[in-house]
Amino acid sequence: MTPSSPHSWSSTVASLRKASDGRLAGGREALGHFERYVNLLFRLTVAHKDSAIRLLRPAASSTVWGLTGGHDPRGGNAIRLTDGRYLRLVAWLDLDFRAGRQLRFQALTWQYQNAIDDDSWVFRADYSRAKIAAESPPRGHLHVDGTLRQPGVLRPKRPLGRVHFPCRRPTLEAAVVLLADEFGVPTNAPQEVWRAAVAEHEAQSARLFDS
Amino acid sequence: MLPTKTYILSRDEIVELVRFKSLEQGHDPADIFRNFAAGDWRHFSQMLEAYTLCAMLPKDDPVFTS
Repeated sequence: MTPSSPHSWSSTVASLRKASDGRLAGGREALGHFERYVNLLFRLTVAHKDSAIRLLRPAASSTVWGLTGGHDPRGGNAIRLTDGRYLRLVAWLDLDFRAGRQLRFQALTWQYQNAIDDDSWVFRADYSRAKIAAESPPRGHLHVDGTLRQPGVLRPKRPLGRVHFPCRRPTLEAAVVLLADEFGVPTNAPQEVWRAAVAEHEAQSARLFDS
Repeated sequence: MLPTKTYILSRDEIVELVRFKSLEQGHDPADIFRNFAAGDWRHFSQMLEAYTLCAMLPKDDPVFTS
């Protein structure tokens, strides 16, 4: 058995399944299961071995948690990827008491960037359960940094990077598939392993967004 | 597994971290607290961690009105 054989990933896949079930079970424990799910999802797919994620939660009684890339709260939010680039990740999580204390994203952003700093971004997905600003974009939307070949299409002073392309639920699984399939980011597990795992859990992840 | 760290933050640590994140991105922390309380989440992606930290505070925390 080689380190990258499908069999060597079986325990990771089993742990991912358990964490996925736990994040959907609701209650405070769901938050911990979600952290484990994200960890395993990225471990299986596009995370560099030196990458890290962190959880932030208040000492006082509160159901709000933050999950981001990076180790240090005073550092950046980026997860280092296997291609040497970065995925900046910030998730604001809460328990929805109207839905039986189910785990929900209140807000989420993930951004592929060339370097660890923000200025080198390529694309970004944003999601907010609440209205973001007066001129409210779709709850889930995608930004792409670039230029159009056709002149005069964009509104004045509105570069392509500020256009909100609607995407209803920007799941983390969608981010992983986009990175691997469209940008060629290498994956840690063999294709048959990670694709099956992503397919198994992505539909369930949609439940963490607005219903 | 990737390395994971969990930070359990006191009220003062949360406020200090919001201030740090705001200044780091070139924003006045008072604006970030005020905007959050008003539901006006400007610079959404850039400031989302700061807004998440704000959400950990009680809605009537004095930092939102000072």
